Order: sequence, then C-alpha cells, then structure tokens
Amino acid sequence: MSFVSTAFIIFVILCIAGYYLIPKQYQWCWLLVFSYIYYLAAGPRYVIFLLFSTVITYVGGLRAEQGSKAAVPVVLLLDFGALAIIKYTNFVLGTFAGIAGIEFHELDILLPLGISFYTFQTAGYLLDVYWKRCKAEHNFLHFALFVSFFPQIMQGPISRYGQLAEQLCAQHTFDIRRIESGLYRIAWGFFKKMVIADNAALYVSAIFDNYMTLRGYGVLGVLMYSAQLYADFSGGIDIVIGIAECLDITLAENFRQPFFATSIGDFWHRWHITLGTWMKDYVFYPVSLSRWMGNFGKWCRKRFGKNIGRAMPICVGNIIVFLVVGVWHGPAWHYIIYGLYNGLIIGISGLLTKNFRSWKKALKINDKSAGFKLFQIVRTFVLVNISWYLDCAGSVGQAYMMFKDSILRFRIFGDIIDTYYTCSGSQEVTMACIVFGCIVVFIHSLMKERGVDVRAALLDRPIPVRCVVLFLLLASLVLIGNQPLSQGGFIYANF
Amino acid sequence: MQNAKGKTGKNFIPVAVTTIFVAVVIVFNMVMNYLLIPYSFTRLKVHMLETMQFNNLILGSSHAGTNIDATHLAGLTGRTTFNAAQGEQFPVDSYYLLKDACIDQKPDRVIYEFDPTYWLTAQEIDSSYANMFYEMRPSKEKLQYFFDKMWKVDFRTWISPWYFYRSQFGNIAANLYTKSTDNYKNYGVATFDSENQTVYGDGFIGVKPGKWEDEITVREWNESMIQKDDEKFFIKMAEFCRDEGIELVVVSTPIPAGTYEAGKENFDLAYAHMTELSEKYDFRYMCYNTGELKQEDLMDSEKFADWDGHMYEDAAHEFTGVFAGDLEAEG
Repeated sequence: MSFVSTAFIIFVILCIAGYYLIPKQYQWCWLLVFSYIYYLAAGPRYVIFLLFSTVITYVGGLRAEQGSKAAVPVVLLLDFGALAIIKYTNFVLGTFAGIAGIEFHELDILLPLGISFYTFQTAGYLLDVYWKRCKAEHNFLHFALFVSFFPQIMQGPISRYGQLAEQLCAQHTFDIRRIESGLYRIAWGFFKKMVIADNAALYVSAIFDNYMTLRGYGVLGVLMYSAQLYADFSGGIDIVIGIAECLDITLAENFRQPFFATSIGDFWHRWHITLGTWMKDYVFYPVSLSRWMGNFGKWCRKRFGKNIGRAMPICVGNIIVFLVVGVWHGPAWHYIIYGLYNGLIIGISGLLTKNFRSWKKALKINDKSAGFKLFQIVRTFVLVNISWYLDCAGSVGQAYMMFKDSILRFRIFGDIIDTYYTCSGSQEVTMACIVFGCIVVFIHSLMKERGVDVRAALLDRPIPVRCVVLFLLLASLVLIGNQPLSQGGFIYANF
Repeated sequence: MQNAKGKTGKNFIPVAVTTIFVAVVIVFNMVMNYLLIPYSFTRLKVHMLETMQFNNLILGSSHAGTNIDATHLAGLTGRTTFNAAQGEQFPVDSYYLLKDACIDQKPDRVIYEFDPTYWLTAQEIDSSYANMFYEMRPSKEKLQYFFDKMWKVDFRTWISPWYFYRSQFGNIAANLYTKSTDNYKNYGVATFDSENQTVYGDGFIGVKPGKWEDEITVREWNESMIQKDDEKFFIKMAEFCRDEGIELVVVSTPIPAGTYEAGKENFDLAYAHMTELSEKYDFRYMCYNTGELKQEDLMDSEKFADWDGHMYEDAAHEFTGVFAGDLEAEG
C-alpha cells in the first residue's frame, strides 16, 4: 500500500478515526490490527517473515531476561541469518560464480517489505534486554505491535523499545491541535516527495539510466539525486511521523538539516539519525570497547604513539560501522564501497584531528568564523555528492565512468528529460518546480537550524493563516507535484 | 450548564473550520476540473451509454472505435448499436462500462474488441486513466469500479484529474467557451470534428484520409506477460454476460498485413490464447487476421491510417459489412 495511494489515505483516516472512537484501553489492539492489515495488503506471504521475527525475538527476550546466554546469539543469528539469506544470497553466489567463471542465474527470492527495518528494531530490543537497558515484554501482542507498527515499518525510523513501546500501549485522548500539527507534517512530507523528489527523479533516472548516452551530466545527476533522495526519504519520514503524531505517538526524528553538516561525521549525525544511533549503540561501541580492540589500541600506542593509539580503535570502529551501513543499503559492491568511502573519511579525519588543528593555527584560520563554517558546509556537501555516484549508480564501473565524465566532459545544460519521458511535460517547468521546492525546503531548514520550531510557530498563527498554508501545500501537490516513476516508489522502502 | 455551553462552543470552532476548509478545497477542485479538463468524447460516449437504448454494445480499444461503424452494423443486423470503444479502454473499463449500461437496460449482444497489446501493457497513469470513471454517473457499479481501479493509484488521479492538464492553463478560455455552447450542453459531436476524424453520435470514429505517423511495433506475446487484471476483468465480463443472458462476441479487427507479418508469431499466440478462452467461457471469437475469417483485401495497408490498425472510414464501412454478415451468419 503506497503512501500516495487512495487506499493508504483512506486506511489512515479510518485508523485515526477509529482509534479515538473506541474505548481507550483497546487503542493498542486497534493499531495492531491495522498494522497487520497494512502488512497483509502487501501480500500474505510477507507476514510469515514478520511473524517469525516477532516470535523468535519475543521468546529470545524472555530467555535473555531469565539469564540465558545462548538466547541472544541464537536469535540474532536467526534474525540476521534470515535477512542475509533473503537479501544477499544472489550477491554472494553471483560473486563466487563470477570468480569461478560460472554462469549464474539469479534465484527468485522473495524480499519481504521493511525486513531491514524491523530486523534492526527487533535486534536492538533483544540487545537492550540482554544489556538490561529495558525489561523484556511479556505480552506477546504488545511486542507484536512494537515490531509491526504500520507507519514506520516500510522505511523507519528505527525505533527503540524503551522509547516507543510504552507510548503504543498507553491510552490516548483526542487533541485537535495535535491532529492539526500531524496533518501539517504529513502535507509537508507529501510536498517534499511530490514536488521535489518525484520531479528530480525524472532527471536522475534519465541521467543514470542513460549514462552512456548522456555523458558528462553526472554533476547535474548527483545534484538531482541529492534533492531526490533527501526529499524522498525525509518526506516519507515526515509522513510517518505525522501519522504517528495524529495517533499521539512520538517517533524519533530521522533528519536534522543534513545539508548544513560541517563534516561527514556531522552529516551522519543529521542523516538517517536512527540508523546512525543504532549503529553507534549496537555496532560501534561493542566493537570499539571490545577486548581485541583494546589490545589493538595498546599495540598502536606502542608502535605509533599515544594519539594514534587512542584514535585508531575509533577509526577502525567507524570503518566497520560504515561497512555495515554499506552492506545494509543493498547487496552490491557499489553500496559496500559507498559505506567504506564514508567510513574512511570519518576514520581518517579522526586520525588527523590534531594535524587539522595545527594546520588551522599555522594558516591563522578562525574556525569559529561564518566563512569557515560555510567552507565546511560546502566541502561536506561536495564529499557527500561524490558518494552519491556510488549510491545511485548501478555498479562501481558506472559510478567511476560517470564521475570521470563529470570532470572530463562536464555538461549541465541540454535536452535531458524530454528525450526520455514523453509525458513529463516541459523540462524547464520540471526544473522550475524542483528549484522552487528546494528553496522552500532550504528556508524551512534554515529556520530550523536557527532554532525556530516552524510548525509550533504556525500553530500559533490565526486560523485563516493556518488554513491558507495547508491549502497551498495541498494545492502544490497537484499543481507542481509529479508522480513517482514507479508505483509506490519511496527509495528507502527498497532497503 | 455554562461549562457544557463552553465545551460545545469550544468544539464547534474546529468542526466549523474543518468543514469550511474541506468545502473550500472541494469547490476549488471542482472549479479547476471544470476549467482545465477539456470536452472529450469519453464524456459523450459515457453519456450515450447511459441514456441510449441499444441491442449491440461495442466495447474495446480505439481499433473497435474506428473500425466498426455502429450505424452501418445496426442497419445490416437490424439491431440498434452503440460503439463505446475508445483508446485506453482496458478490460476493467470495458467491464464497468458494460455494468453501467446494464443499470437501465440489457443489451442483447456485447461485441468486445480484443487488441493483444492492451493485455500486455499496464495502463499508464495519465489523463485517460480516470476518464471513464470520472464521467460515469454515481452508482453501486461506480463504487466497485473505484475499488477495482482507483484504490491503489495515486489519490490525485481521481480526486483531481485536472492534475493531468495543469500545464494547459492557456486552454482555459477555449474550454470555457466550449463548455458554454449548446453542443457541449447537449452532448454534441461537432467539437470533435478535425482534419483527421469525424465522431458520430453512435460512437463511431470515422478516420479521414491521410497517413498517421507511426512505425510497426512488435510486441512479444508471452503468457507470463499478460497483465493479470486485464484477463481477470475480461473473464468477469464473460461471466457477467453469461449470467445476464447477454451474447458475448469477441472480435479482432483487421490490421495491416505488414504489421501482422512482422509480429506473426506473437499475434498467432495471442489469438490462440483468446480462442482457448472462448472455448473455456463459451463465447464466439472472430479473428480477421488469421484463420477462416481472414481476408487479405481487408488487411491491405492502403485501408489503414497507420500500422497499428486504424482503418479509414470507407474501409471501416466495408469491414463492418463483412463483420455484420459473419456475425449474423454464425449467430
């Protein structure tokens, strides 16, 4: 059930309306039923995987609470094993077949919707129980709701049990102001998705799918991909958080103005935040604080001195984390290199922190100045965009060729989308819609970066002003919004 | 008492504001639909379908629309005929047009034109996607149509069909003028006359001499590529006809010999598939490109405006004569 479909809109309206009409003690049951209906609508086969993950993690959580040491690794192995088999079998077999020179036909393996997201969520819960950060859930249905809560199951945010479970099972009272606030968030999400992402997708698809013909347009392609990916993912998350808000449930934020980041590390603190914090808590710390990493740090201290010795385990931890992020994105080498690219930049930056400080001092650079901050933002933006070549291209070879052509055959103006999409309308109009959308989002982001709570400020305005804003948002979806190239099409729903 | 009053007042404002807001959005949407959506022959065809009395109902793609002259067929068969076929009419649309027609009457015979291309292609979400739904009168059938066709697609497709015409603000004056004329108000056909075609009140589209620019396109026919919904709704239509006692005749109208030869293998597979269906669901299938009914002279490329298979009006007249004879002879 795509977020932009009629079915989803009606489904959400019914869910919210019923949620506040039924007795409060049954609200969580209502959500559980709707969550499973949502998942069943995608295909009954998918539910088997969801139930499997729910049951084994539920049992694993209870066993872990009782002190079983075997339960956690067994359940993690089953959870991630299922994910790995489903997602990576073709990739692994294909790679081996390639090395051995054997012809390989991809196996037709069903990829259940949202499996990457709910697997991470259940694994996080299990580890939290094991580390005694939270108590195990004894009510199976409560736990099933935590795993399947419908707005977030497709593309996150990846929620923590401690933050979400209690809210899901609490009793909630209808509040018109909160509903209104949620509606703004939903409309804003649709605005980003339809006005920016779906228009930019025409450029991205034309340039990346036809990179052998449209040579040299790589810069335009990645800039458009930047706009598309951010608007698509953050727009989708806005819709998710907005729906949850209408249900009086607060989900974790997943974005914090990522294009204002001053370093790649900072970027990942602002982009897909819940994946970043998940990685930090369940991969980075366990790896960095492990005994073997401690020994490695001691060894580095002996060989390279105190500073490197201290920074090296963090550097290796970061590289491992981003390798996992790359693998999480998909079963392909270009994603793995994409992860490593980010990990290496963050890792090496960590190692060179002291050097950067001395260089800045030697060059008399005031790192508190606005100019330097702007430089950092632009530098980060460029580095991030270079990584998009790997993220968006279909292979490492394609990414390399497009990057090379971007420098050697740089072009930005030309007949791009009208050549490939007969129904797209005028290229200039499409570009104007993207630019307009980006300006609106930029102003909104700038205000948020300066600490203005835009929605709260809007809710304090008189009713006519609020109505006009909502009306303009809705009208813009029809007037300047586009349609996804593929039905349903949110990019992160594929991960 | 005061508290209760206060509470009522407090609740009244959001309810009133929401109602007014929704009303404004609906009115704005209706106005935009009126201003931007031009008069199309879908409006005419759906209106005629709902108001005319007929014995033969022709459904299907533009090939049936241009190749079967309804009035001529009526004259030869002695049964009043309406041609509701048009481009971008997929089996789901044909099925619900038939159900819509059957609200007030029951035709004796449904002639469904089978164009294999439609069965292999998912319908594009464009201005024609919701056309027939939009023009249909409110009914239980329309509600079913909504769940079968609009339910899964982008909500803008049917809520705001002006979305597909949003780059045509320059046409507002012309649309307003057209919609102010008696021709529009009375569902006239004059608006559709162009240098390429004449639209008749019986739904037939007469193609005038002149070649349309197109190339021979060969579509691979593979059972696994058949769109599930297309076959599903065709079968529903066959079952509906059987249950209602309506005779169903499926026809594949002639296509240029060159087109057939270029994709012979695929066309033959498609026609064989329909033959199988005809045996399974007990309806007549009349194919004019292969088998006993094939007539080389009807497939002469000079009789077509394009390689896709749209006949000139004279040729359509000639084909209709042959078709009427076969229809009655076999019947």
